Amino acid sequence: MHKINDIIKKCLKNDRRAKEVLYKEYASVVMGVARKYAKSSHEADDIFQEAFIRIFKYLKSYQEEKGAFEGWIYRITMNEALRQIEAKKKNIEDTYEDDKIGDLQFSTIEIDEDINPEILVNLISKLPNRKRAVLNLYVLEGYSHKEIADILSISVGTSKSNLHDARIQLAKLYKEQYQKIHA
Amino acid sequence: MSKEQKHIDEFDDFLQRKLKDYKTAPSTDFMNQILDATEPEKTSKTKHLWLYVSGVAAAIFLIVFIAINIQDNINGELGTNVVITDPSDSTQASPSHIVEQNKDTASPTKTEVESNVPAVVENNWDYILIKVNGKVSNKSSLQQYSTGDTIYNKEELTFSAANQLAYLRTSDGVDQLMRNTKEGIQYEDMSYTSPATFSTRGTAISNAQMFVKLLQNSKLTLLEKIELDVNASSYPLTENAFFYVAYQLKGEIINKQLKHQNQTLTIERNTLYEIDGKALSSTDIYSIKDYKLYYMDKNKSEVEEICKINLYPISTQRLKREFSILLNKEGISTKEKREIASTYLQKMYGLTAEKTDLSNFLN
Repeated sequence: MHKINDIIKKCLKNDRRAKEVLYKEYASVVMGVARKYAKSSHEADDIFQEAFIRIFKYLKSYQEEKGAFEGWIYRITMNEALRQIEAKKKNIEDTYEDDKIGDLQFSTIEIDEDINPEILVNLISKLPNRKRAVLNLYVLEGYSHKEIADILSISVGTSKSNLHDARIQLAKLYKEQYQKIHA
Repeated sequence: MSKEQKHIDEFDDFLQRKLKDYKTAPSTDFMNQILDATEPEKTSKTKHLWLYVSGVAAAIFLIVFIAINIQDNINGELGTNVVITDPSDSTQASPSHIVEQNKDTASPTKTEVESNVPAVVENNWDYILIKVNGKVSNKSSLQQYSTGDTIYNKEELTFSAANQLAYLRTSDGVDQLMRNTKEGIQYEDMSYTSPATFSTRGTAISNAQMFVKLLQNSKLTLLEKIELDVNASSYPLTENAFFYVAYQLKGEIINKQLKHQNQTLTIERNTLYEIDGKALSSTDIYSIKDYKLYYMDKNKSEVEEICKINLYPISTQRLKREFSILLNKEGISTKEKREIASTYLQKMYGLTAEKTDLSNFLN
């Protein structure tokens, strides 16, 4: 395991080998975040590349005392993903969002601890952009509705209703998937 | 806490456990691409070198330019001089439909082209100007020509720039494309040119590739509307399943749902360029970029990006005026009219119009 501070120092001196080490070490972290926020693998690739370029560009602003490097990388990637979602916020899927999401009893959901996370990521990618972002921020990142409202420039009420819809839509997709796997 | 809320929390916890630290390797190795893009030192050195070389080249060019200008003024020469002659004359015709009027030692002056046409063919034909890309004026009167003006035989012209195109009709009704090149004036007889065709009729579109072929692979213009028949099993069109066009206007993404009826999709110019019931100004229309076609199925909560639309709006008002002269010929059929108009669009605008759209526009 390389000492990350040494690698960062060398990267800042434009040492290509050090940059390669850093890339290889954190590529899966960056792509993991990108996939959770993206609608498709193509979009994930875009987020991944933009995020990595930003990581190298702003490397000198990383401060060890403020937190782990992986967390810093995670936030840069998440911000890039949200920036790309923001650019598409007027996308028709949000304009024409279906308000007939329907209902679902969560008690009917069977939790499958052995499910491959890839399957869950694919199911999340099927959610509309903003709902996917809200679900990620609230459930996976632990932000409050107030914080999400600020990040996505929406109201607290919209954040809550988006989360409600996203959960139901995702749970329905998950249920269908579960039934397929265990049929 | 209600029992239902407890189940919701369990579902949230489950997602968090499975995905909080989710990592996955990229499917493509972007490493070299990214590292190349983040090479500050090298890029900046190259940039400086390039700026230095460009600076020196610009200075040399400026000195030469001033020197030539001084010389020109001494000689009393102003602008580019072209004597219009009739290219359809048999004494000048070459096997190619491009007739070069001047293969002599025409040398470029300023940023323009000086064409001293050596032999002026004697005949009685004049030209009607249908369209000129740029500006062309009479050398002595300085009158700037526009659509519908007559340019008389042997008239000397001044062009505003090199490589300008002018679409002309001789007095006996032959269409010519005049090109102001470094080698002199070149003419292309339009009656030898096949029209660029593009039709959406015939087959129902069943996959994205077919959309790409029709809407992305060539530069299109939309005159009134383009209708596309879409396969019902691939892209069912209902109240909840429809196509829409997204484009970028002043940094915002605008989405326009497209009309459809019985599996026929319509891209309509008026509705495409209208926001909240108000028609966009032509400045706004020309500034639009990144047209994309999407298919949305609300029942499945799915949006599919189909293709880019290579769309270039043009002024239909101006085009109508140009067509009224271009197609003012006796004894030509509707089909011939469409072909002439299609060739004209291709040559003067570099654009293709859909066959039915063009026919409707001409009627």
